[in-house]
Amino acid sequence: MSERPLRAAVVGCGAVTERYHLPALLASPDVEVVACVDPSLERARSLAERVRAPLALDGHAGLAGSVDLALVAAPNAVHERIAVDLLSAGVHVLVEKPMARSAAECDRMIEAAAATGAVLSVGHAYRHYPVARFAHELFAAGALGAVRRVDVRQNAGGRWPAASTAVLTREAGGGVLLDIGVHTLDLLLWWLGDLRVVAYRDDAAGGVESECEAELELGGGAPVAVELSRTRNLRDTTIVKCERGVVEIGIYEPAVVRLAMVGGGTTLAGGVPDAEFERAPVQTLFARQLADVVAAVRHGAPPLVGGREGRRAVALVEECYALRRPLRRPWDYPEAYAAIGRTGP
Amino acid sequence: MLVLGASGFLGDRLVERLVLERRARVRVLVRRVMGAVRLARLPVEVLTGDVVDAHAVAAAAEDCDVVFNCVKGTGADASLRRAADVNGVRHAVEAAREQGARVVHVSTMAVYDLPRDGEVDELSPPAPRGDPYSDAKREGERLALALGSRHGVPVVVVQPTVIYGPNAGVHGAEILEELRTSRMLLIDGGAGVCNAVYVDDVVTALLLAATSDRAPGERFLVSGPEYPTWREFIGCFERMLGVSRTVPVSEAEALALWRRSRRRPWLAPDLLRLLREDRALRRRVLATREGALARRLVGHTPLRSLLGGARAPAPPGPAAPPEEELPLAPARPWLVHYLAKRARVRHEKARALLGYEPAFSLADGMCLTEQWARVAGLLG
Repeated sequence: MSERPLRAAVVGCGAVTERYHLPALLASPDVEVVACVDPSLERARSLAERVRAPLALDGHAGLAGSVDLALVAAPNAVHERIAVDLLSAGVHVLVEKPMARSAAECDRMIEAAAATGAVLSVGHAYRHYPVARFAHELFAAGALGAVRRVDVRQNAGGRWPAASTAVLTREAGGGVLLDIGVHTLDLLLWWLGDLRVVAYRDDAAGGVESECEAELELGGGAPVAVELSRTRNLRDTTIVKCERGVVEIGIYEPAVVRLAMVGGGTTLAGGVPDAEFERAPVQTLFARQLADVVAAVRHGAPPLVGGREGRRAVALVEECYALRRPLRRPWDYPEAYAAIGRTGP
Repeated sequence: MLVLGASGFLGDRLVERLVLERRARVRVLVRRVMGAVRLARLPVEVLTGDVVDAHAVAAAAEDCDVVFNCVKGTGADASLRRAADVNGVRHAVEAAREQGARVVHVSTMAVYDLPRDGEVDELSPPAPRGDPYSDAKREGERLALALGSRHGVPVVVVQPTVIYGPNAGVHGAEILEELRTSRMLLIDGGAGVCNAVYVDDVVTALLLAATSDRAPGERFLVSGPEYPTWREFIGCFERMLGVSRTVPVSEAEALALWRRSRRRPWLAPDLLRLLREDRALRRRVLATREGALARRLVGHTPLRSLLGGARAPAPPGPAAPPEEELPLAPARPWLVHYLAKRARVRHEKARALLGYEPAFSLADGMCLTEQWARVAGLLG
């Protein structure tokens, strides 16, 4: 029996909506885009015209009753408000990462969803990378034994398009930890279990961080080191040392997984074949994310990343920022002058 | 304070010192949002736009007291680079005029004719026409001062020499990259003079230029405290990498190498090498009529090993090629001549009028540069 497509709205018509979410929505037989919302009515109209959506609004207030599903890709600071309003009106919501700026904001979103039974899903699309799914399956099976140590080094430069400088503010996009680190932490939480923060340093000096180093711990005490940089080329892999072997998981495509057993002398290296993904990687990512949400709405299965799941990474980021110490380098100002025995120029 | 070219090597450091040392309110104009990710760690206002867009510059300069122009034209298109180096300057001065602001314009020592030997100061003759970079910078500099004088805008031109330090491109990351992948020619044995100046010293000069009463209308050469040779300068990078990758050559030899590199190679040696290395290609070629014929004719001659021999494939994994196999990077003629010069750039004028004094010796500057290079993952 074919059901009528879900009526969908995009709230926030920025670069990521335009390039990734909309194509996925348009390609899906299960949804129909009926509304585009953006504080700039002109932008909402222009996008609505392009995708032939009947409604163009400058606020989400008019959506309840007209849409079944809302895709929220607005600045971080307004995730909570928009999501809570929509969820309270029974609209299902897929909200972009990070879910919100604090665990408290997440809690209110979760409550709103619970109150009406609407689906709340968080856009941690990285979970849909074939390599990420494989890693999840590997660790879920406990194939390599207990985790002993984790090390992530990742360049988080401008890989995702940005239309406005607002993304460089904490309110909208945030520094490297909030913007990209939230993906990294979400994957670690998904693969390995709960984490707590031991120490955190970043280079924010009145603005948003472009470099950060975090020391965390898994439940059993295994140390986890995370280093992110917007500008430096780093290894771009996650190394997980376990009781029986070491697995190194590539972060960016083409992502390679390397596996070596403890006490062995050989390494297995390869990718996770996925023809559909290889044909159109990013589109497939967003298509699968959307399909997961649609299934949750239609069949009541919990989404891959529901409200509680999405909250975990936000809580961790919040914990990092709370423990934040400055990350200084010897050539910074004023350290460079101290290094030559001067107080200043 | 408006900083144009803030996402570049010099501009980024200037912004850092303006905010942290001078506690200034800084606005930057960048072409791409993601070009400002480092700048955004500081509390600066980020606007997007291009210096070739007069409106963008005018809007960015609103309420500013000083416009720092650290823009250097980049990219493959010479006319676009020139637009940034000349029109961009015009827009900066016009915008400053509107705000009653001062302009500190970053030019280069390349606007002067560097002699074979001897000293260079602000009275030295200008560079001969012909090099697009120095032509554009000379024009930009002249325009800045002429417009400044005509419209009563205080314009200060700062002409740094060879700027190095953490985050350097041309005299930093690019040298390291070249040394990692090829052997570098040391023209005239590296006896030429590298007028190296550490980035923080240049920033100090810019900050002085922004406030000194004696600066407007003047041009200032800004060099470092020492005059290392290119051998010494490049040697610092070699030590960071733990390699010895320079090949001393005379100017004549370097020019001959360049001429040789420009000549088109014969097809046959390359083709034979390809057939030797690529098994699949070899199979396909030998499957053709000509290939089968060649194989029959060639028989057991030495040529057979080239066409039919199955060589063991190279072992997988990265293996650093032995030193002798690293290619020799040929240098263009103008670079060869430039690197051979022993001219020393003096900064007495900057000292006298601005109180400029470089604080970083080559050793100190390179120590900090090495620490950065390690953290940036440039040392392999």
